[in-house]
Amino acid sequence: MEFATHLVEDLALRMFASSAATPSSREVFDAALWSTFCSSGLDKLLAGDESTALREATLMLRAAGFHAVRIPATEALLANWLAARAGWNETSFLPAVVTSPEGWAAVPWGRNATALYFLQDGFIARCLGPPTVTRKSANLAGEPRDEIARPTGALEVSSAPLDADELLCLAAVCRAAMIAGAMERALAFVVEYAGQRVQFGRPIGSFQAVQQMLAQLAAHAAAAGAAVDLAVAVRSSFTAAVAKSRASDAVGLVTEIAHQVVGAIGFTAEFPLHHLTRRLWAWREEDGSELFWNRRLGALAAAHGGRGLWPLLCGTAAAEREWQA
Amino acid sequence: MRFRFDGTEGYGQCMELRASVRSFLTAECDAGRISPRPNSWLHYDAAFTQRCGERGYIGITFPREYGGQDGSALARYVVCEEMLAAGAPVGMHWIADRQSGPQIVRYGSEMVKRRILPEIAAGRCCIGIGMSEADAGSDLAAVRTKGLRVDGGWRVTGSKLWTSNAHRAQYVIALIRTGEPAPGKHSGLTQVIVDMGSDGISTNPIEDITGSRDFNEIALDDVFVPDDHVLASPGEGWMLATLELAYERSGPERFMSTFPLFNLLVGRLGSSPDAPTEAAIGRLVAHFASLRRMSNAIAGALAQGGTPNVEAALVKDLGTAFEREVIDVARVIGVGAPEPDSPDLYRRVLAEAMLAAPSFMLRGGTREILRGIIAKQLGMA
Repeated sequence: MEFATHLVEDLALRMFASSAATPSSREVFDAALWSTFCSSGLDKLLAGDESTALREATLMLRAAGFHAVRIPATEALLANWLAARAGWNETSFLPAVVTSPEGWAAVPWGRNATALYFLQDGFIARCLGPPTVTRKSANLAGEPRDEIARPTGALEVSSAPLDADELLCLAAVCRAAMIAGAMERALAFVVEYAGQRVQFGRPIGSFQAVQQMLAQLAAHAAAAGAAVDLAVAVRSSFTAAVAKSRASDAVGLVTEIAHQVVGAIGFTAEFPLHHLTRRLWAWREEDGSELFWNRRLGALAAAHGGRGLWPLLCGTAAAEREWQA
Repeated sequence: MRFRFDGTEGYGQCMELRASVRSFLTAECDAGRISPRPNSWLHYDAAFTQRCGERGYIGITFPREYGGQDGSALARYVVCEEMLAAGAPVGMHWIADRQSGPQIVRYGSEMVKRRILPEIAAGRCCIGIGMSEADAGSDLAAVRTKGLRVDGGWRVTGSKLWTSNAHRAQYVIALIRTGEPAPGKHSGLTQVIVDMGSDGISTNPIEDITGSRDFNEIALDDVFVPDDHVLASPGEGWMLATLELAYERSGPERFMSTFPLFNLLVGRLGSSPDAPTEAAIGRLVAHFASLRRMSNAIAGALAQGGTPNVEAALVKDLGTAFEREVIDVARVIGVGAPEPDSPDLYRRVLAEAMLAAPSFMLRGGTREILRGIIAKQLGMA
């Protein structure tokens, strides 16, 4: 199993490495990569119910974040997951997914989509064909985030009910995985830069002040990754909240240090660091910012009270039935 | 660049053990024998430690023939975190259970294993760490305490500093110089088990800013240490020190020192706190859960014979920052001001946590040293 999981990661990393980021502040859909991605089956990692599915999916998404791909990788996973739940045939569409009631205002890759997935009164629904974009917009990274009109025409509504929260939690874990991947790349990138950039006659990475910053970056990137690993090992709404909260929380410090170490050149559009940092700023808000998830976790902790806090945190509270390897 | 924290969860295996430890601790609390304290892994309570020993909560991973249970690292981890969550006074056995015992299991002579390990497991033996010296703090390899080769062992002379419990420990494991530092100063170092009942030892407790007298200066004047009290072989002291630091830096005590405060704080919020309070508490929850994941993955890696030293440094850097953040959040939420002698447990615990806080980022390697280790691993020279 482990072997197969790493094959997925290797495949994703190799495929995405070929996707060169465009030197512009607006992101353009990478049609060639999308086609390779779909034919590889990486888009359907969550469609099955193997126990390793989420682990493989998050490794793929980390690779996608690492290489700052310009395809709807998370959305593809979610759409195929929804389709499988609904009992629909595997999709060959370019999907947009509305993951929360507020989501209609900023649908990822809405303008490029050929199918729209959402929840209709607690049931999985989809509308085939390009959705109606009422306002084109983009996130801080320039990735399309378009306002979409709720479809009024022909809908397919499945008889499969789905808790809206389950969709949001899965989306949050996916987004957190992309954040973790982008942070891994930002760290590698900045470490390489610090080893090469010479000032005062030596690489800036040899200065303790810079080393301390790099270590902090590494620590927070590692924590984001560990939180994602937790959400994979123990699937629950609690761990999903932890993953997205912790990953989003790390973005501020990671991006601040990355830019600080790289200096003025990193502020230019030409220098590729911003493909990572702008995504990190965008993604920390999407599928729930750390504030959103923290409030949930805080409310949960308060509801458990002093005596219940530890059982909640160590997984022996009621939610612990989900606590398994 | 990825540090791996992706071992399998296995807490489910230890549910029974967890439940038994928890009910023991609840009973101890209810009977008034213990009361939750921050930094509880430094609080020495010989009677409590002995009760833990009787119940088999110490030395779980030691081999059966030496008084242990051949238990898993995970089982030990579960016991440790339950103790810390309850703020139980585990200071007498903490270091022996965490690092000294495991080191003796792996590198001790047969005689030492037979004599010391069962005593640790029974809750009757306290061990101190004799690493730092006046001129060897962060620069540990600068130790000057010297061992002179004599017939059947070593004669040790020098002094050690910041050794918790030295004045009441049965043994201190000391890092001493037994050979010349050439070519690197990491060579020529040896770890020896010093029997604190030996002739030539004096200890001077040092009062810290919290008012407690846990740590000490130890003066060693021509103290005889027999050959069978040497860990591994002479000259391997640095390797041993590096190894044990992974145990020392990655455990739950590196992010749970202020957990009793966190617990009491949440207990005071009521069931519907305001939005900023919710967010602040939720942030602590998310950080805690992530740290626990990292720490547990390291315990798993250590159990499999790995040396996740850098990962351990990451945990300690993040974990000790978290311990401080709990205090900051408690202060901002403001459900009670710190007061050392308050009849209110929360205010007392907050006061104690605040006074102890400067030690969090110093003990077991300063934050700056840890970050240096991380940076080195990243390839920065």
